[in-house]
Amino acid sequence: MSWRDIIKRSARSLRQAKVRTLLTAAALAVGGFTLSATLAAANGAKAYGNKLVDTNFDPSSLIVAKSKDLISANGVATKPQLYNSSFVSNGVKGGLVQELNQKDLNRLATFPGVLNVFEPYTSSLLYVSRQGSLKYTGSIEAYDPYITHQFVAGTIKGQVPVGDVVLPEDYLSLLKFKNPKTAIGQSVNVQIRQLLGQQKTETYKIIAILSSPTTLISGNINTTLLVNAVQAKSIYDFINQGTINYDRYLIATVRVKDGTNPNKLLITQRAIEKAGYGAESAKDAQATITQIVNVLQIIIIVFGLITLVASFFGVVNTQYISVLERTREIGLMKALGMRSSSVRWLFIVEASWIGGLGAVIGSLLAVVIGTLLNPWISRQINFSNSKLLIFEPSQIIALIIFLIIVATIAGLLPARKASRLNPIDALRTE
Amino acid sequence: MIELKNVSKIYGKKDSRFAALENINLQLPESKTIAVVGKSGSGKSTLLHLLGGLDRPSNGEIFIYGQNLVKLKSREIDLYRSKVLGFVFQSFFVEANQTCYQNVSLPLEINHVLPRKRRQMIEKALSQVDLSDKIKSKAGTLSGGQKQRLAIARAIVNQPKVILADEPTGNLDSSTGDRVIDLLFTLHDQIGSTLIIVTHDIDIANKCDIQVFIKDGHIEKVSK
Ligand SMILES: Nc1ncnc2c1ncn2[C@@H]1O[C@H](COP(=O)(O)OP(=O)(O)O)[C@@H](O)[C@H]1O
Ligand SMILES: [Mg+2]
Repeated sequence: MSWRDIIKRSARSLRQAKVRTLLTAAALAVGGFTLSATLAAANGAKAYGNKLVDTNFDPSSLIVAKSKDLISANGVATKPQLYNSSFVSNGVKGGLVQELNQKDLNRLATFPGVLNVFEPYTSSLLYVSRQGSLKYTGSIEAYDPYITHQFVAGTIKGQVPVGDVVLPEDYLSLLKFKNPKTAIGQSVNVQIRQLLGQQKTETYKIIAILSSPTTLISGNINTTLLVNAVQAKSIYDFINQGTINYDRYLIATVRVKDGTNPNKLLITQRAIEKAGYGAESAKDAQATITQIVNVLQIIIIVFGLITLVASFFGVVNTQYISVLERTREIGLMKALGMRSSSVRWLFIVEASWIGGLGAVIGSLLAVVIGTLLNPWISRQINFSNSKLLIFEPSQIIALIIFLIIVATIAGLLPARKASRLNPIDALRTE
Repeated sequence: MIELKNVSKIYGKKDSRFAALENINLQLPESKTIAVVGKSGSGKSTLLHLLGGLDRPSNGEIFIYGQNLVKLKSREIDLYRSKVLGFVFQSFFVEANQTCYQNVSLPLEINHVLPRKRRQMIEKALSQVDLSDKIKSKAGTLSGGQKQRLAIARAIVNQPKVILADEPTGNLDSSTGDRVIDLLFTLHDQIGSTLIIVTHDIDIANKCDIQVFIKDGHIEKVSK
């Protein structure tokens, strides 16, 4: 019997036992549904992780801290350090640590492949205000021209000019601006206080309004005003003058020439690490997130596979019953000269059809339900405008093929039984 | 020429040893109608199964058109069954939930007949058994006589050299049975195949060219 005829005949047999076929397929569909939903959720989680990293890290740069033990947590100690009188960073989780100073920053600039070293000089402000407005908290740091910022109004070419400021969107209504456009060119006051006493007010002209990022790892960017690096440094120095924090920096960003090339980035990273510093690339941060997602995914996939084991025996059972019910038909086919191998394939292909049917039903349901529920799920888990479930056509096709293979394997034993039936015995059932 | 030499079929061993056929020697000419007559349990079906390659004899040799069935490999037996033989059974064995067309199509599929050639052959076979109007009907909706005619269409669609019919009227009333027998004889005349009918109805046997009488696994007599 030709393949064409075998495929047609097996499909016909299934059509003639619709209820049984659909119920068996339904068992497989549950597995298919679970697995495709799992894969989609993992895709979504990975994409979300990547987005987090992309919006918070520059792929061509390294985050550098004073020592190896201080990395992976942005310059914060992850285990107790041997105390040294030069340790600073009061009020930071993890205790005092050794920090970078200007000499380190200058040295970092000399490592092979380094394009520049960026230090944000982050300082806490006493408050931000404007004529006629209340006072609001905030922080200030250097504008990094290498990072792509999203502005809702205004533009910046290269550096922010000294005396200008980039204002986060969240301050607009607080400071009584009607809309982003009208704020451009207006002035805003920042109050700064020395740790050891004096206060002063600085007034800046608004050059651009920074849009609130949707995905953040550390939530402080919505309250961080951006100014020229020179200005940020002078504020930092003013605030910390005479304290141990003076000329101490938790982390610096080292930007690498052609750093999007992972090899070049790695060469510089290794050189910096060899000198005793801690260095982390965006990829390292990403790897941590991806690893968490992968572990979760494996757990759910294991559950999906367990459902599949149940479906597997469902298919075995159905096919055995089918063989028993059709003993006479099998006997007749063999009596008419059908090869045992063709009989076997007839039943194997039947199982494959069931697998394909179940897989298509399951994954289709997952796609439809997932797509419909996506906005709702994202809102529930505060995923903002990211999608939790991302369906990859290639994954779904691979999954369908996998389920067909599983069902086909389940059909092997019953098919063997069918192919071994003796036609005389089968036809004697009179 | 169909020839059986010293053919025995023995079931069981030692105490339960039972010879369904013992030392059968028989020569049957081609293109004739042959009746195998005997009481129930006399070994008629066993003989037919041996001729049909569905079973192998315990002893002896079976030559059909010069081929020794006993020596054939299973693949060759399958080919022999699908190319040389047509089977008709007492209980029809048509697939109730398939159409008449699909039922008759089965031997053609087994024989690798090209799909575009099938329709014409199936239509011809169905018209030969007078079931042209039932081509799209499910076999389960047919009457007993119609089912047996459908089974006959399935047996002849391949233009077999030998048609083996095991009590083809056993499940039919006498008038329907007569019609089926008439049909088998008419088709035999048209196709020119050898027709072997197992029966215990002496009237049917008398319509055949040759009668083989079997009793307790032995050939009692052969009349022509
Ligand atoms: N598989 C078998 N095992 C044991 N005995 C069998 C088997 N098949 C048939 N027989 C016996 O062989 C004898 C002949 O059977 P069969 O050829 O079917 O008779 P008939 O068709 O003439 O009624 C019967 O007695 C039957 O019980
Ligand atoms: Mg019998």
